[in-house]
Amino acid sequence: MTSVARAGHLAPFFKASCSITNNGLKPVVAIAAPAEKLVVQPLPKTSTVQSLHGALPVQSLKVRHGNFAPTQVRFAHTDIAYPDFSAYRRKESQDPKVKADDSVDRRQAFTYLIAGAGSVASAYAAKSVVTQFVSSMAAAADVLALAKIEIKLGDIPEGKSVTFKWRGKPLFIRHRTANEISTEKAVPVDQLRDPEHDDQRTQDPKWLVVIGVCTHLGCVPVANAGDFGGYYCPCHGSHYDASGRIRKGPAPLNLEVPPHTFVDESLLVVG
Amino acid sequence: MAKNLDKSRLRKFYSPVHITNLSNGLRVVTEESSSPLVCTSLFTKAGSRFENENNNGIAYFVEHLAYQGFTSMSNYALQDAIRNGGSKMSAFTSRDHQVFSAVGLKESIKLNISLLAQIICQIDLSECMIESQKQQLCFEAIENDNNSRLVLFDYLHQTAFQETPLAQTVMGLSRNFCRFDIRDICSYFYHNYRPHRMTLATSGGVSHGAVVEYAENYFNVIKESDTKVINFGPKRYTGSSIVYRNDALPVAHVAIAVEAPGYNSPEYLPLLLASCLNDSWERTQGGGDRHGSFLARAASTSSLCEKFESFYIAYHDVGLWGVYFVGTNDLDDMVYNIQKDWMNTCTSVQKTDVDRASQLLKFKLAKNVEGVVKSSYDIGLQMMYTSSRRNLCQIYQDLSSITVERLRDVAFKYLYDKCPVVAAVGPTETLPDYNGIRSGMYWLRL
Repeated sequence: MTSVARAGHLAPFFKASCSITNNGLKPVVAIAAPAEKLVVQPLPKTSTVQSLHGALPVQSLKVRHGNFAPTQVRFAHTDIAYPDFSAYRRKESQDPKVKADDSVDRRQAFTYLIAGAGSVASAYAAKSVVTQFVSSMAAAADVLALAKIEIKLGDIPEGKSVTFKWRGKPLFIRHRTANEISTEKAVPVDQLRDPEHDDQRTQDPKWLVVIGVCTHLGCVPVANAGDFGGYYCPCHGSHYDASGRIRKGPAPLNLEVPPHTFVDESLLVVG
Repeated sequence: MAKNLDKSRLRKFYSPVHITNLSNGLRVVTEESSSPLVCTSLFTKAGSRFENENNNGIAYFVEHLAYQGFTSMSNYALQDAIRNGGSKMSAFTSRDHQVFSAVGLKESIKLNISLLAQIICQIDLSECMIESQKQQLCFEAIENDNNSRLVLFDYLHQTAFQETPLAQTVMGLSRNFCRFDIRDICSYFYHNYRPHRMTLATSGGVSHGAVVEYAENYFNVIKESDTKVINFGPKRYTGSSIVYRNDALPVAHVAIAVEAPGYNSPEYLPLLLASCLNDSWERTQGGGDRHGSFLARAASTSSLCEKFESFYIAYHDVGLWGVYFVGTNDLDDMVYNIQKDWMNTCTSVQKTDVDRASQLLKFKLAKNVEGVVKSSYDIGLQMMYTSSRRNLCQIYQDLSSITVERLRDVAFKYLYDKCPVVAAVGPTETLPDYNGIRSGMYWLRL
């Protein structure tokens, strides 16, 4: 239980004083009466700062000035009653006869239950807030909608390369002939600038799927042109073969193969 | 071999005490030694704990009346008798016991016992004597208010044992002591100064037989009481804090404590040992990083405080165990270090530290029974709390049987994740708030 009594506001009444007074509730003179019959007025209920202040002697006692008379009155520290915190106590610790040890399990079980449940709830709330902010950095829905395209392969005749637009870039789909396939598969890998075998670049050897951006400076190559019958970049003269691999010219790398899957014989999904 | 020899010497030196119960129930305990002095102390289970809000302070008031004369002997005659006998009288009141003590040459033992008996039986309660002591108490109240340490420990009890009799101060309320009269005092005498609540503890060059004879002579006028039950009242502890911030004071006095078992608990000695781990320190000692105690090292190398001391205030059935320190503007660092040390004690105290604390405790315990005055006080206290006396040799044996694990377990039981009480007086701006201090009472680590 936390009970804090800040007595800072009493400080001006405590310092530099010279006389102890009784607290004004009983006269200073001794009264001859048996102890049993003494009726002592209880102190005002001292629970709040305001009511504590009300118990100070300043209201009823006047400050006297004189050469030898005290100029301040105050309580001795023993006279200031400790505030009554029973209104704030848990039921288990209300009875002063019960040791704190005996009720600690029940009190702490309650506190820890609230703390535990509270932390689970706040962890959950924190998780959704974080998720919301982090997901705001992800791609927008309209972008995601354009992220994939479906291509009907039946429309592409054999030996042709068709250009599509995918994620803002040109996409070449090439329906290779048996001749082209066998030529590309036979190219020795160790003679290539960017050594990749044709099998690594195609899922179905009949279909080549590449992004139509020259790896040199980003021009769009021309299909069915160049020394190797694949693609030719007119900007600086890079020659790609029918597997999209760089064979001649300044470009350093093969044309990029995007992720793609064949849903069935006639339908290709890129993205 | 040498160790055994030491022990047998100790046994010889600390002879067992003789205990006799008089016919009216008063207990007479004597430790015979070859000293030329004798100290006789009359212990009574009286004090602010056994009072209520209407008579709080009466034990302290009676203490003031004690050596002011008896019905059979005027104040002057009493002073003469004491002076001529070469004796010294003293009195002391705490929350749960009151001691009237007389030390003198062994020839004056008879006089001293008769004087102690007269305090109980024939005290002078004339109106003029009572009024003059009221005046005296008013001056003392002013004096006590300027004693920050005393104010602090009063506050500590007020907050730790709020709404129980242990919260009451020894001094009592001024509205009470300004009002006491002969009837209040007589009624108090009648209820509290009963033979079953009293122990006469003597140490020095006198035989037990002689003491019993004198005690029988002088104390037999006190009649046995019908009921022998002593009601200690409620003793509920409340973890809480009281801060009296007064920036006009030069230094802040702070005490942090936890609830501890009382004097006659088997865990008293391990906790006493634990308080020796921290030990005490003050700025005048210097020492830098060469102190044994972690807290003293921290305090002296980083100048965290002016001084600190560990305390264990043990009553009959409950106590307060903690650290008191005086500082200016690093109170938060000091509190952090205290709690760090406590948690260390709870979880990972080392054998070297326990051995060091054990030596220190042996030294302190030996100092506690050195000389007839301290010895008689120790006898009385032990008899009053535990109804038996363990001499130094036996306590040393108990101490050596405390293992590191035992110390750690006891510290864990009373310190770890417990609500402390905090009391502070002075410029306390840098003192952490209660929740901060409470959360320092456990470690979340693997």
